[in-house]
Amino acid sequence: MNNCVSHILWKMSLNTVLLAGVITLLVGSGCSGQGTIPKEFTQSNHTNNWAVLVDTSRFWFNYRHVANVLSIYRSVKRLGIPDSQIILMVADDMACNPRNPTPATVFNNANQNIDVYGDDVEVDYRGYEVTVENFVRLLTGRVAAGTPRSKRLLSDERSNILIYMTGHGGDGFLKFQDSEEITNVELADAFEQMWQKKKYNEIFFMVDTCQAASMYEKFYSPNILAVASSLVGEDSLSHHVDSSIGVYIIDRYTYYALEFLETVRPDSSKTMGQFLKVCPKWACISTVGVRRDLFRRDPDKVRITDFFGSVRKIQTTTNVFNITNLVSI
Amino acid sequence: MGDQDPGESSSSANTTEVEEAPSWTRWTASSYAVVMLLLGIPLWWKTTTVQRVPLPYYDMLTLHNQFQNELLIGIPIQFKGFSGVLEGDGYQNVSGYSFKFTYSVMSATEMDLVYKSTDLYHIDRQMCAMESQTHNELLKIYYVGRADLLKEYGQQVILGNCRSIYYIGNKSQIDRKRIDKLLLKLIGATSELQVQDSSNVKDSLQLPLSAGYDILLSLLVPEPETLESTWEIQRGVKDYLDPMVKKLSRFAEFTVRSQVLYYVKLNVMPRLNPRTGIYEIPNEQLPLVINPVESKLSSFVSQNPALNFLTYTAPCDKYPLQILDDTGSGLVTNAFLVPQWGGIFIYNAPCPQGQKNESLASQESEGNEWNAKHEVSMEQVMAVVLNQFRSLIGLSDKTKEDGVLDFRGSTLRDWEVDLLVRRRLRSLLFTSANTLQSLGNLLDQITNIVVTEKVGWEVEKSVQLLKEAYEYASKGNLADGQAYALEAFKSSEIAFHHPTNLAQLYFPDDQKYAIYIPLFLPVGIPVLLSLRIIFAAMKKGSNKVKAD
Repeated sequence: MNNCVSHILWKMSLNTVLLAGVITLLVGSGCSGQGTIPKEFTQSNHTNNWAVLVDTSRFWFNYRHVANVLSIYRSVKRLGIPDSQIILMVADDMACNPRNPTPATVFNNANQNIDVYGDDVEVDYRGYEVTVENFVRLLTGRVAAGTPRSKRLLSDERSNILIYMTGHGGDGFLKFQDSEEITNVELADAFEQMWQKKKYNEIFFMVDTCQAASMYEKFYSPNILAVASSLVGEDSLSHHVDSSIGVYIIDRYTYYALEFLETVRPDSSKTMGQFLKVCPKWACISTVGVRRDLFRRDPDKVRITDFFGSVRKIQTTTNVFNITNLVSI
Repeated sequence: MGDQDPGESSSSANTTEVEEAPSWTRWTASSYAVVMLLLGIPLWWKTTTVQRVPLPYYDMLTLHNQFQNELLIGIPIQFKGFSGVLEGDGYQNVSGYSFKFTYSVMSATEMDLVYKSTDLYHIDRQMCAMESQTHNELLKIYYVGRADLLKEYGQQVILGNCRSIYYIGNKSQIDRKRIDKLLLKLIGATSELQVQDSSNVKDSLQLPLSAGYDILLSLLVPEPETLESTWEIQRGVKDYLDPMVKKLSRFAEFTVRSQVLYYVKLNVMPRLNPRTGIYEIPNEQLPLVINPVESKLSSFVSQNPALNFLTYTAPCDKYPLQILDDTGSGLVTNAFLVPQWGGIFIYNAPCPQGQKNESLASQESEGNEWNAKHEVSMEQVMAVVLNQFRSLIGLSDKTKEDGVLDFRGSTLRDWEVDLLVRRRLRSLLFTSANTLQSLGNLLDQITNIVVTEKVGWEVEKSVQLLKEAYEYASKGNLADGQAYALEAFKSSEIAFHHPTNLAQLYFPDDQKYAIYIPLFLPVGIPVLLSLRIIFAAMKKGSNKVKAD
């Protein structure tokens, strides 16, 4: 929808820009909504999509982090990334926790509409396997020789990777399992190793934790777009309690991000630019941080399904092989 | 002990009796010092040093640049039967390739072949036979000065099915422009600009680099209760795919597997065209078609990238099913492909008459005969698969091409396989060199990472093999070049991905000192101080000896 008004914006003088912004918000929904894909989108070079979804904290009171990560898992799966290309790391098993009033379920909403655990969840790293070492091994590909395919990130230079992390963090680190932490420097270095080894085309890094923006500060490898639920010095807050479960069940940023993703369909023309505006300060209470200087494309022209889905490039076949040629000799 | 006070003894060190008493303490102190200095420190040093096998850092860091600046894969070409030579000194460099020209006359048998055969196909077939006998991998351009062929083809350069190229013309002069065009074709580019461009769909039609590849042929039968399709895939693979895979074995190793999936539907919402009665799949739906089946296709064992070929038999309530192209008209082939993933072919199996609208219950009442069987035509499937396979490995998918002789008896031309091998050789060299460079930087910068003998050995091997592969590539020896480059690639991958190359495993140096200093300082200081006293005493002792 921003594309609809951008060329008008250019022609306006500076003092009317504010007014135009308001109009954008008002008419925005009317502007989009055609089923066809606008030509303004920049073409992506990727041919396949991967997702690495990480929940780093355990214990029952961190139920919401598991709900966060499983919700994102449901969304990317619904939008078309197959399980074989999703690496899901969940540090604790809330569904089977003895305190769970409805065993084998995880809900992300007090209405309990969607069971995000479901019956087809494929957790690749679970429990005490979720460690900093394993996470960095996964990213850099330096896994032990016998590691199964499901625990490997077999991406290549034409892969777009969505990396989502949630847990408890601080200025410059994210805690794993209450016993260790990954620092922003380590994460940045792991991404650089991936870049040097040509393991990605573009990365969308999404982190929901306290002081989340500190996690992307040290990145220096190209083609990374990062969004964080809070700036340095801010806490990220949870959204609401389910009284029957008895704990907070989802974080604010992920809640609003999901609300947006719910409206996305695999053939959607929504953009990453729109997604980055999700959860304004009045809703999130924390300020959502965005880092786009490493990213070469304009997020307003990047389809959201470039990261949250698996929209394939296709080419129709125009000829078939003349089989009789083979038999003639 | 007793009444001898140690303080007093040191102060009155002149008397010989008092000197005797502390001599054994001096010995113990010095033995402590000896043990600490000669045994303790070397042992501590030995056990705490990080094992770092020496690596050829210079080569690791410079090979990539060297390749970038200097790598020219040699392509020798022989002109046969031409009267003139090309200007220049016998070679021409085109975007990373170096063509080397030689000239010779045609031998008597070649003369016979060219001038006494009935048509060009006949000439080409015999040339191929001759080539396979002599194992000659040289590209040859023959001058064909035959009026009848000139009439049939016009004046042009025609590429054969093997490594023979025919120049049909009325004078045996080399036409520079035509040769330039030919050279571009031989390296797989239509224009020199296209070689550099990497963003378009066409260019993503290349296999990701890997040691080997899997091919998975899947038959999707969405409703086996109404129509059970079967296929004789073993025969199909043996007759059509195996010869192609065998010919490609020079390029890379392919493993072929097949499967039949029941009750799996593609993600299509076809629209009934009331005019034709055909169910149409609009072009916009195609990018999302494969999503639901993808989870059923991946291998849990093989780490190799896979090419998938799906054959989808249309369900009876959506029969016949037709893919539309981007202009909205029906696509004759009913097939499309996804770069680096594979191809999809919609196969319309004839549905049993009358069952189209019948309910399931009535079918079941018929007993054993309730489901109809259909044998999928392997010829139809393979015609699509072979063509898509060619596209997916980066070759032209046109059945008829200007200046290229039609296929006879094979799905790949020898010069096309050469082109693929050269391309792969190139990316093997560059990727391995890049991997080594990245690893070299990592190990050079982080000094506390262990470099095990295994890593050292693989790096050493990779560097050696890369240099040899480079030599072979420059000479145009593809087989050896690729064999060495592939081993170098494997070694560099093992070295780079070795589980010990992880900074998280090791103590940073500053933390190491933080541990050892509090441990060793309280022990070390008294020992060192006692050493000073011993030295002082020894000095005094020797002075006294001199004075005596």
